[in-house]
Amino acid sequence: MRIIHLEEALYRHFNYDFFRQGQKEIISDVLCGKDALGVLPTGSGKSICYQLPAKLLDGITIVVSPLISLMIDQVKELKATGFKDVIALNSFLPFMEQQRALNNLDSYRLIYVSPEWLQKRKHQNYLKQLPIKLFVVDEAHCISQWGHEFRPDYQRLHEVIEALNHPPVLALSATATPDVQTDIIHSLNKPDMKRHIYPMDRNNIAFCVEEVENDQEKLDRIIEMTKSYFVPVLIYFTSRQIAEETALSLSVKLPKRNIAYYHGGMEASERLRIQQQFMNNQIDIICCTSAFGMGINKSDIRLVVHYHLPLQIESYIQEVGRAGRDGESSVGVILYHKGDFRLSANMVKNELPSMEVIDRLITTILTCQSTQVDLPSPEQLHILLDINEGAARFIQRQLQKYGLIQDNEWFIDEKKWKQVRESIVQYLEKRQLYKNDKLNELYRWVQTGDCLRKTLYQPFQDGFGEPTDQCCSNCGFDWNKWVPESLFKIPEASSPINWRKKLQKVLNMEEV
Amino acid sequence: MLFQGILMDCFQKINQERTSSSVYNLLIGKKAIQTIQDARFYHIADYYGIYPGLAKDDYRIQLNQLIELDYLREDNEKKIQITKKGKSWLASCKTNLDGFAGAKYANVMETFKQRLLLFIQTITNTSKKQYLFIPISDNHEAEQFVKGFYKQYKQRSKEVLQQLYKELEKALSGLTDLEASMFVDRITSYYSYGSSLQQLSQDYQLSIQDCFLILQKGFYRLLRVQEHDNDYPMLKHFTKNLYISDTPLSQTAQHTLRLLQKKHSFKEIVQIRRLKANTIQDHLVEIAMHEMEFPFFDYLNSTIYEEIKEVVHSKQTYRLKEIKNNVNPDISYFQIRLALVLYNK
Repeated sequence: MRIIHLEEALYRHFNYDFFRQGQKEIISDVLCGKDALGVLPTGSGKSICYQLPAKLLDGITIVVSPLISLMIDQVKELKATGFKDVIALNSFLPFMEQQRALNNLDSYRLIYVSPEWLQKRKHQNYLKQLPIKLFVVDEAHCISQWGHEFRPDYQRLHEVIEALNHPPVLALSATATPDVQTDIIHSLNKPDMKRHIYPMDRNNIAFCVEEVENDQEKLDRIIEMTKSYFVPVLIYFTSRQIAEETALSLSVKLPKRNIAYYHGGMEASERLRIQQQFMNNQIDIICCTSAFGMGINKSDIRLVVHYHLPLQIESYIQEVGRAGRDGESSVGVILYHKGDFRLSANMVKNELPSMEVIDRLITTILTCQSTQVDLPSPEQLHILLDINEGAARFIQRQLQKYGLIQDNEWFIDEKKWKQVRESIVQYLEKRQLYKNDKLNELYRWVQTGDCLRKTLYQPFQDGFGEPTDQCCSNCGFDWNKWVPESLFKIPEASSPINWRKKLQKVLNMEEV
Repeated sequence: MLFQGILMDCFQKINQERTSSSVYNLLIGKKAIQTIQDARFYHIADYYGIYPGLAKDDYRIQLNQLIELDYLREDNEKKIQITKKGKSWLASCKTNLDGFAGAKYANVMETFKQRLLLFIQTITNTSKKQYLFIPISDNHEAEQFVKGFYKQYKQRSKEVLQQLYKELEKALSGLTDLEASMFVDRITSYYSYGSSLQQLSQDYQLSIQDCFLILQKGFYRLLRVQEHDNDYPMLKHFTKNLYISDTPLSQTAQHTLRLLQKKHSFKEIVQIRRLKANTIQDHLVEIAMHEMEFPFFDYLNSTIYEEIKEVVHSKQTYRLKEIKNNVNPDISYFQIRLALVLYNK
C-alpha cells in the first residue's frame, strides 16, 4: 500500500511518473522518522528526497544549504511548480522581509536556511517553537574537512539539531568518499544513521581530455565542436572575464548560433533571463563559471566543455554531471595546456589567507584598540584587508574557534594572540597542503594514460557501470561515432522593421 | 551614442558650473536637494533618474572616453566643459535625445515597468493554459498588482491581449523601428524569455548603456501616451495608484511642510524637529520648488531678490558661490537659493 501511495504522491505533487534510483528508499526511511545519509549522483534528483516528505509530513522541514544563490533558485523553481509555502532565510534578506517571515514561520512547510543564519541564537529560538519534522543537511560533504567545500559552520550543526530536540535528520551529498561519509555521521552525532550509498558514475557520459598548445587552440577546438553539433552546450571557465570574452568571440565566429555568458557578477534579473532562455532552448551555448548549473534542471545538455578546470575532482564530477540527465549519450571535454596548472595553483593559493595577512590584520586591530579608533565588526573584516570571501571566512572562523571573536565582537589582546598564533599557523599549513593535494589529484587524473572513467570514480566507489556509448579518450573516442540528435534549427534573421510581427507573436496573436 | 549624447547635453547645459558627479547623481535620480535643484535650473529634468542602476565606474569610463576624444574637457576643479568639437557633434545628433521624461515619472517608472512586463508574462502564459512559470520580477508590489489585475481579466484573456497589442503597437509606432524592435525583444512571454541587455547589445551592435536607455525611452513613451490620450485604457491601468509629479518631495521635507502649513515659524520648526537650521532650510528650498504657493517673501524682500536677479543676469551664472561673492554680504546662501527657485518658476 505504502509504495503505491508514495508514487501517487510523487505524481500529484511533482508530476513525475516514477522515482529515480534511491529516492524511494530514502523517502520511506525519512517518513518513518529514521535518520538517513543519502549519497546520490548529481542530477539524480536529490532534492525530491526532502521536497516530497515536506509535502507529506505533518509539520515543517528545515533544509540547511550552503549557497544562498542555490537556495533562492530552488525556492523560485518550487514556487513555479506550485509549491508555494516555501521560503529561504539568509542574512541577505532585507530586515523587514525577514521580520515578516519570522513572525509567520509556521505558515511554511519547507524552510531553507544558510548555516550562518542558523548559528544565531535568536533564529534558533524562533525555530524551536515550530513543529519540525525533518532536518535536512544538503551538500553534507561541507561538514568534513576532507570534503572539497569544507564549511566550518556545518560542524556546529549537531548543536542546532540538539537545540531543536532531535528531529529526524537527512544528510545528502553527491560527492562523498567513504571517509567523508564517516565524518558526516560522526559530526552530526548520529551513529545509527542509515546509509543509502549509490554509485555516482554516469554511464551515458563519455570523457575526453584534449591537450592543446595555448588558449587560441582551445577556442578553435570549441568552434569546431559547436559547429557540427546543434545541441545544448555548457562551457566552464574559472574567470568571469574570459567567459565573457569567449562568448563574444564565439558569437562572431558562429553568428547563427545563440550564445550567452553567465557568471555570479551579473545582476540577478539578467542571470534569470539567460537561465530561462537556456531552459527554453532559446540559447544553445553558455559560457559560464561554476555559478551556473546549481539547481538548474535542464535534462538535455549534451556537451560540457571545460576551458578551465575546477580545483578538485569533486567539482569536476559535479559540473560534468550536468550533461545528459535524461540518460542520452553525452560528452564531457577537457581542454587543457601546460600553463593551466600554474593558473589553478594560484587560485588555490588565494583561497586561503597568508599568515602575513593574518598578522597584519591583528596588528591593525591592536593598534586601533590602543588608539581607540573605531573598528569594523568581525563580519566586516574584509574591509580591513584586500582578500577574497573564502579567505576572510577562514580568518573569522579561526578567531572564533579560539574565542578572539565572540558574538560578532572582537576579544583580542596581545597575550591571547600569542597563545593561539602557532595553532593557527599549523592549521593553515594543513589546509594549504590539503588543497594542493586535491589539485594535484585532479591534474594527475587529467594526465593519466589509464581509462578516465575508472580513475575518476576510483576514490569514491568500487567499479562502475558499463558505458552506454563510448567510454573515454584513453579507451579511444571517435567524434564521428557520436551523433546526438540536433535540437536547434538555424533561426531566421529578423529585421527591426518586422517588430509588429514579433509583437504579435509575443502576445500570442500569430494565429489571428 | 545615446549615452554619450546625454552626457554631453547635460554638461553643455550645466556649462561648467557643477562637478562631474552632479550629472551622475542626476542620471541615477539621487533624491538630494542639490540634484533636484540642478535638474530644474539647468533644464535637464528630463534626464533625472533615467538610469537608476548606472555604476559609477561605467559612468567615469564613458566620461574619460569623451574627454580623450576631446569632446569634453575637465578643469582642475573637476568641472566639465563641452568643447567646440563636442558641440558640433552634439548638434548633429540632437533629435535622438528627445523622449525622456525622467523627473515627471520618477515615482512611477519602475513600478509601471515591472507591472506591465509581469502582466504580459502572466497573461500570455495563462492564455495558453500554462500556469507554472518563473516570474521575471519578484517585486512584491508588482506581484500583488498583477494578481489583482489578472483575476479581473482572466476570463477575457484573448480580448486583453488584442487590446494590449493595439495599444503597444500604436504607442511604439511613435518610436523608430529599431527602438520599437528592441522594446519587443525585451518582453518575456509564453515560452520566450526576453533578451538580456548583453544580448540586445550584441544583436543591435550598440553599447549596453545605449540599449538600456533606448528601452527606457520606450517606457517613457508608453507613460506619456497613456497620460495624454484616451486610446490607452490598458496602459493607463498599469499606472493605477501611482502618483505622478515633478520630482517628489522627500519624506522628511513633507514633515516640515506639514508644520509649515500649521503656521509654525522657522525657529519653531527647528525646535520641533530637532534638526539643524541648515537642514530645515534645505527642506524649505525643496518645498519652494514643488509647492505652487510658497511664501517666498517671508524669507526674501524684493530688494534682495532684485539684487540677486541682477547678478544672475550680468554674470550669466547659477553658481551659488559666484552669486554670493557679488551681492551684499548680508544676503545668505539660503536666500540666494530661494531667489533662484523663484526666478525659475
